Amino acid sequence: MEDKINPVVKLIALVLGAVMVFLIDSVLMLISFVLLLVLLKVFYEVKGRFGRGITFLVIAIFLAQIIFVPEGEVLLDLRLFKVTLGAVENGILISGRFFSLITMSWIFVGTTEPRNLSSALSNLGVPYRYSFLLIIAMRFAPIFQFELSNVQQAQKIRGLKIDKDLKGLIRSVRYTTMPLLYSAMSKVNTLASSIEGRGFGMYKKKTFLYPIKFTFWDVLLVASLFILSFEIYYLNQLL
Amino acid sequence: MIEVQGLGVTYSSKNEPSIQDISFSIKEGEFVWLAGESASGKSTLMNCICGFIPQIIPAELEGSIIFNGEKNLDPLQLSRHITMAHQDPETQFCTETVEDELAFGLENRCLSRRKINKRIETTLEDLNCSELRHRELRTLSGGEKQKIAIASMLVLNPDVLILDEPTSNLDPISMKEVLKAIENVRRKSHSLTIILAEHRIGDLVKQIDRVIKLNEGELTGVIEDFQSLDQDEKNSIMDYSYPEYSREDVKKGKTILRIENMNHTLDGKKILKDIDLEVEEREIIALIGRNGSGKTTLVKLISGLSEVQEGKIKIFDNVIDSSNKVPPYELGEKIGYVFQNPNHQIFENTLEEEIMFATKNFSKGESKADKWLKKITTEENLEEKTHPHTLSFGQKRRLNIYSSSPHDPELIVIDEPFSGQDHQNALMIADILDDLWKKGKTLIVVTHNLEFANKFCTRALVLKDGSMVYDGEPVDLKSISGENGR
Repeated sequence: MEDKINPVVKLIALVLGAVMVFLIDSVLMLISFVLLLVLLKVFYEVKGRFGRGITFLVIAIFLAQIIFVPEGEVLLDLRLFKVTLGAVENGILISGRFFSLITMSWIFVGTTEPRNLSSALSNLGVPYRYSFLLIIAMRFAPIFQFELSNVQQAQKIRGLKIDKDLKGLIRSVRYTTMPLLYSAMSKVNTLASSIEGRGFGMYKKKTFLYPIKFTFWDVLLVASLFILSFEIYYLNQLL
Repeated sequence: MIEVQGLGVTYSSKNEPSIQDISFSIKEGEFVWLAGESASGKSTLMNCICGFIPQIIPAELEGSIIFNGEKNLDPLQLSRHITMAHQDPETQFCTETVEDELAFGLENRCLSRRKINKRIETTLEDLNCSELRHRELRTLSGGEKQKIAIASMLVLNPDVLILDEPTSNLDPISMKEVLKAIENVRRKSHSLTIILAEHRIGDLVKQIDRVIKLNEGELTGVIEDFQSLDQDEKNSIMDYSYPEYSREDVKKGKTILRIENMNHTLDGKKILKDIDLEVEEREIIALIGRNGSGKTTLVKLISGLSEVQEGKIKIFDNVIDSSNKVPPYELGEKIGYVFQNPNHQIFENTLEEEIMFATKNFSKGESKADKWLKKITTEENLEEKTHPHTLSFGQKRRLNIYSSSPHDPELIVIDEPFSGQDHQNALMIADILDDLWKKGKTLIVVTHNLEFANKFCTRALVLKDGSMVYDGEPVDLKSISGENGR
């Protein structure tokens, strides 16, 4: 679901949010922050759920803290290792930060039209050559994802088994990179020709069919975001 | 209007010139058909006319191209007059919606928003696709994408429109739609010069003024007034026929594939509906249907590359359903699979290694692979140590088929073998497939080529919107699909 918020304001919110999750060291505050993000994700109907890889990483980060960084009061003695209060707190903080960063990025990508972000950035003086890169990246990400899936299928049907160890990882990179690279190279010239052949870079400025301007309300929203961040940080210090 | 004088191009990655000593001229308002086999230099020539070579695509350029009296202009200067729609619209598109794609060039020219809106509206109307304006590009069919690719160039009001094989990846119905759209453009603007590189031009043959023929990088002929030729002379340029393949000794064997009540959904859309199918040994099946009708999904399910959601597949000794999955590398021992994009399935650095790839993975003897290696090196005049990515598009496609076979699979599935191939290459591929069949293989060929299906295959399956609407002999396919196919 899209919204009416200026994409640059959302970008600022994303950067501020990323800084905040590293400044917050109160478990209660971080859990509240994570819940707020989950609510936002549901509210904006952002597609996508944690895949096996990310879920595994969140759990692995949490368990690594429990097992390898014991500190403070012992909550549970499991013979092989002791579960301590400090380790649980650290586990929640570190895996919570990782979860927050991923969720914030999802919300940003899921609610922002690349063309609007490009238009809004250009309106603030960013040369459109650079802001256009965002559109290209968003345009080609799903194509390369599809191609990656095809390459992996082609490997499997011709009998390539990739073990889940370092050797397997190296083999996987070797047999995946080359086909993708050649496929990408075959696209680069066409894309560059298509862009330049339609006058990209002809003038210093260009028209935007849907211009996004930075309004008084956007300034107010950014100011509110900074104030909110300071409040959260202050509250975090108290807890 | 366009004067090409002694043009030669040598790419930095190659020693030999890709085109040499090309000279011809094109008058304003002409409809030019650029004819020639794959790798004859058509795309190189068109990229030169647009100024993309050598400015964007590095190459050594000899001779000159004069446009309206001005010599060797750069792509930005030429973009005011000449636009080019590429073969693969997916790669040409640089935005996410139809409206943005059409607006892109006009925004770069700093036109007012009012003018941009007006131009988009008029262009879409001219191509009879106004309803697509607010659609996302990824949701369009193959034919719609190609029409939008052409629209995004026409919206710029060019003097010259260049079309690089706009129908090469399309099903017959989409192909007709695109050719019709080009015909409409031609009818509406006779001052527009059109240069079309295409293997099959269908009804557009009536519109052609001039033919420029290329072969292996050299100009082999210019026909200045194509319409003055008699029908026999025209037909000699447009011979797409296939020989009759002997299928008299077809002795079908046991059933190797049985599909029961297969349904499949993707992103909420039903891709396959109630599919039941039996395939016996030694059959040659043509799987036909429009882009998006479910053909690739069906063959991927058969090969274990997609997970079965509903229904059951019995293939060789394996039973696959939603609760019982068989990894593709286990099925791969008996199934060879050739994907649509040649680059996605070349993994090694030499032809020898590429041919041996599957035999090594399946720990099969290398003697059979040796035979295939000798075949490709002899027939294509290549070295064993040649890097596969230095091959032409047609050679890569044949390598894909060769390298899917040395581990001796019983069933070979080929997805769109003729996509982007000229007739000569298509005939060479058909010969390889015929050879495989004579060696006892069963073949499933996903194709839009109805002539090939009719002459080569023993059975045709037609999919329409995910349902199997025909299963029988490959005769009268043009009327079954309701179209004249390629």
